[in-house]
Amino acid sequence: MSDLILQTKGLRASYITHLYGIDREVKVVDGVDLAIRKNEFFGIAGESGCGKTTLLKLIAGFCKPPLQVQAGSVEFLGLSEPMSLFESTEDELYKIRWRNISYIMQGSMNVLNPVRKVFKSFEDFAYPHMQDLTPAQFKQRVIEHLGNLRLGKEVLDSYPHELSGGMRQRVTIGLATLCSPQIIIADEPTTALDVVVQRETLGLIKRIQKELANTIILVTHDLAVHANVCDRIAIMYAGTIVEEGKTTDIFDRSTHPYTQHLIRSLPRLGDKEKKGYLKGAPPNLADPPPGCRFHPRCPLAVDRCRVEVPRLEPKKSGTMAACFLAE
Amino acid sequence: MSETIELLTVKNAKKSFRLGGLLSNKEIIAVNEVSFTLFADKPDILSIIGESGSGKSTLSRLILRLLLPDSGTIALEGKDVHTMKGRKQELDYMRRVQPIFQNPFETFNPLNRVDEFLFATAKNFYSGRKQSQVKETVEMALQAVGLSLAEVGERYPHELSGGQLQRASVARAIIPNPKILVADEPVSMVDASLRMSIVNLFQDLKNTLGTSIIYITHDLATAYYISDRIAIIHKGYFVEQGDTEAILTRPKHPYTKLLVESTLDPRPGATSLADGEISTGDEEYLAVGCKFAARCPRAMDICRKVQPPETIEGNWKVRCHLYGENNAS
Repeated sequence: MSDLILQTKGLRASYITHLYGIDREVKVVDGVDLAIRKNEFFGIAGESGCGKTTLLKLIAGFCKPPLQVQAGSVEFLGLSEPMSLFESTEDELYKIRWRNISYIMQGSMNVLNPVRKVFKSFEDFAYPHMQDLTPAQFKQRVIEHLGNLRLGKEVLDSYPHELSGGMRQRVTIGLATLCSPQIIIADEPTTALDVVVQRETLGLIKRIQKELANTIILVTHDLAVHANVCDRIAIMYAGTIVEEGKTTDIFDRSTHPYTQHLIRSLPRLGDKEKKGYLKGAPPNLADPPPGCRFHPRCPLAVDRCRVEVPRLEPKKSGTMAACFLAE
Repeated sequence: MSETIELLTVKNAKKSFRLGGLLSNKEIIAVNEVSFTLFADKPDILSIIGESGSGKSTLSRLILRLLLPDSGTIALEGKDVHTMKGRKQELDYMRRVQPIFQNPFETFNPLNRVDEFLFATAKNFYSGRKQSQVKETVEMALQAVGLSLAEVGERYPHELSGGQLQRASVARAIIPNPKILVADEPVSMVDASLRMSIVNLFQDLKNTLGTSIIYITHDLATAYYISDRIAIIHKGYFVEQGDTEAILTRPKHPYTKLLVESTLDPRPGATSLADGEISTGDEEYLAVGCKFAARCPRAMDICRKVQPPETIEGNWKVRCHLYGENNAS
């Protein structure tokens, strides 16, 4: 057990709103068990609206109304004692944020304050967590750190709009990695970037993970990204994890029909084979279907799928899958 | 080739924008000496590949006649866009060249029902028709994209999935029975499990309705999958164009090579992820000579001084000093 860094158990959370006297509950995360190891590149894949960003928020311990945790726990195991994030006070969480768990956010343009120079953003984000350094030491540290990311120190005196998209994304990566945290959560870090810059940025993130030997949790809808950087992948569908396993197992021997479909439909240079698509659309999470949430779109669904919820279980192929039909 | 009828002819089209304030004389040429032709009797899917800021959206606006070129010609069935005047001719152009936008949720008015928008479009293009005929036109357009009025009618945009809504917006575009569809990043906002349904749809439309499609994207993988021809646009210039298969498997221009190398292969560990210098294309627009020279691994002296001319070999066109008469290697 000691090689785990973060564990979720039976995590269940919903957005609960009361609007004009109507109560609405959107079950975004429904029974997620994850065990994420130290020194691992862990990927979470899923379509828009499947709950992946909400899951990340919960992993990072952000839970504010209308989001409510209904059951389960998230435990951070990087300290001497296991720390349950939802039972901790705001002060305790503040201490581990940025030092132990940091966040690379989607859309670097929106993260950096447009009216403050880049160095001011570093002071705003990271300095409160590094009070043991003097301001001069802090600045030195930031310059060295950015040098390692191949950014010159003139970047610190620029405004975000003066930098290119790739450089801005590097700055946000720099922000998230400055304190050498044990877990870095990356939410769609390369989605808004051009292909050339995307590859460079992924190369950078991969190198950082090797150097720090820490855990990176990468969330993106693009399985081609997962294929090239992740050690293990979890596939999410409508708030549940439907399959989880080593990257090579997921790509070569997946057992869940949804995963199989996603992988089969990936376009690739040099491949003209006709790609299929799934009928229907992802379910409305305010009113998810009974049984397996994938059954209305599943080409193989049988009666049992319509009433009983499959559990995530080890399969012969080496992956864990939530499907009755997979062996 | 002399027998074929030219549907859309773009010849040395150029569009520039002034940078900075009123007194600044810095200019960027967003689309520069772009030429290509679509033929009426041979429907085609032409992919235009470019990164952000390459001029691909400006080009799509030129083709849609939302902008007029500064110089060069864009002609539809032999008629220059500059000579078209008046509402009737504008409508005529629109009828034959229709857009499909990136984000289907922004295409439709969130406060109106989807079918109202489709009916309004049909009424605009077929004024004077009876309500029942309008309904029939809309139904036929929806059938062509695999939807029906029963499915999308009386629903609001937020009640449909991204994939359905993008189909509805394709249906809207084919109501006037256009010759050309201009699709600017049409799948980047659609869910992964539904993305291929839109891409396949384009192929169906080409085969069944004979519509030519200009597919503008940054994604080489889907472009390879659907298109017959491809053009790579870099800082306003078409640096390479020709058959998709040939170009993407044996790219000539160093920029195309870079793009092909950077496209992630969706097989575990198949792409080598180099963590090299950060490429910035900021100043490239203002560069003299080849705009790619600053990043090009094979740049020569001449590249920094002279814009390379187009070298033509069959239907393969490339703008690079490495090819052509000066350099037979």
